[in-house]
Amino acid sequence: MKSQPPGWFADVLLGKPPREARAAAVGLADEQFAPRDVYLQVLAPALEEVGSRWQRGTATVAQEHLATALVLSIMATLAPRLDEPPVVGRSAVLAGTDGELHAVGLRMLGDFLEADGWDIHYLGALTPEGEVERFTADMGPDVVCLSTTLTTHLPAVRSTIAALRRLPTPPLIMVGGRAYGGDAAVALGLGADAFAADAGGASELLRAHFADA
Amino acid sequence: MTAPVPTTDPLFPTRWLPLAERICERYYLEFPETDSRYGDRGRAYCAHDNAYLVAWLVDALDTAGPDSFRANVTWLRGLLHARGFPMDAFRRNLDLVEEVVVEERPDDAARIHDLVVAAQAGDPP
Repeated sequence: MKSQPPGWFADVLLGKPPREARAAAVGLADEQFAPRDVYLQVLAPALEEVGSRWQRGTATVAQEHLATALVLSIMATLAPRLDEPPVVGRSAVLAGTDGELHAVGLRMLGDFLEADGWDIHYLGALTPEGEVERFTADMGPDVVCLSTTLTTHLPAVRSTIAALRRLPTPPLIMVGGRAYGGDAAVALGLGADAFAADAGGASELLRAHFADA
Repeated sequence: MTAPVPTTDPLFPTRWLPLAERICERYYLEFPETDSRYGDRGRAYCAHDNAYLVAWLVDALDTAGPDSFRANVTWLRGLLHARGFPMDAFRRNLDLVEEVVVEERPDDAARIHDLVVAAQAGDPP
């Protein structure tokens, strides 16, 4: 199975009844992969493949929605198996930028951080400007993670970061998502403290950052 | 007269529609056969796609960095190619995007030109 091309699971998401697709993903976690690797090596590439098929005109918007919903339900099944969470006493706010509809990667990060023992406040997609700042002021998290897929939403990231910086006790601000094209300099230029290309990288970075804190 | 822009995106870059419509006026003068091929829907998508092209170009200038424009254009090129849109027309459309955006931001003319040339150099899919 490891010789499968990236994104091979897209055929399962789109071609099998949902119950069978879910069982197939759980089977991979039972037999071949750590649950975390099912997220990063199976589910994420599958959604990228579905998106590419839409771009090429071989998948519909409805199929994209179907695949996304199915992946989220698979993640809900696998999340309790990620790790036995320790108590770390840290919390994070996770939000998609204003206007941002893509939030599966952010949900993946939430699951990884919960498995690491963090308390997660997941605000999801389409979080309006101003709400992240207000919520952060109320909750006082250690970290705010902002996810952005489309470059047209980056100005909203800049203004959200600026607002977070004005709080009496600003959190660590991490950003990520496709909008940055893998370029940390773009993220830091917007005022972020840290950048991660994907959910796996983000959780590793936070582990390292808070290991000695 | 432009048909309604075909989108349900609540944050569609509406602010760039006036520039997009200027680009489309020039595009249709050069490619009048587009009307017989795509009709009103073609004009609506011309405005839609060019609003995004302008937004991406401005993003690259102001926030997202130079590589982002090429990446976004490559994505759109792949989408249009898969739907049979002529690639020579797409390339020329990018020239028109440059022309119109430079009219708005003359001080950035050199940067805009570099971004457009880099995006045009992307391989067709």
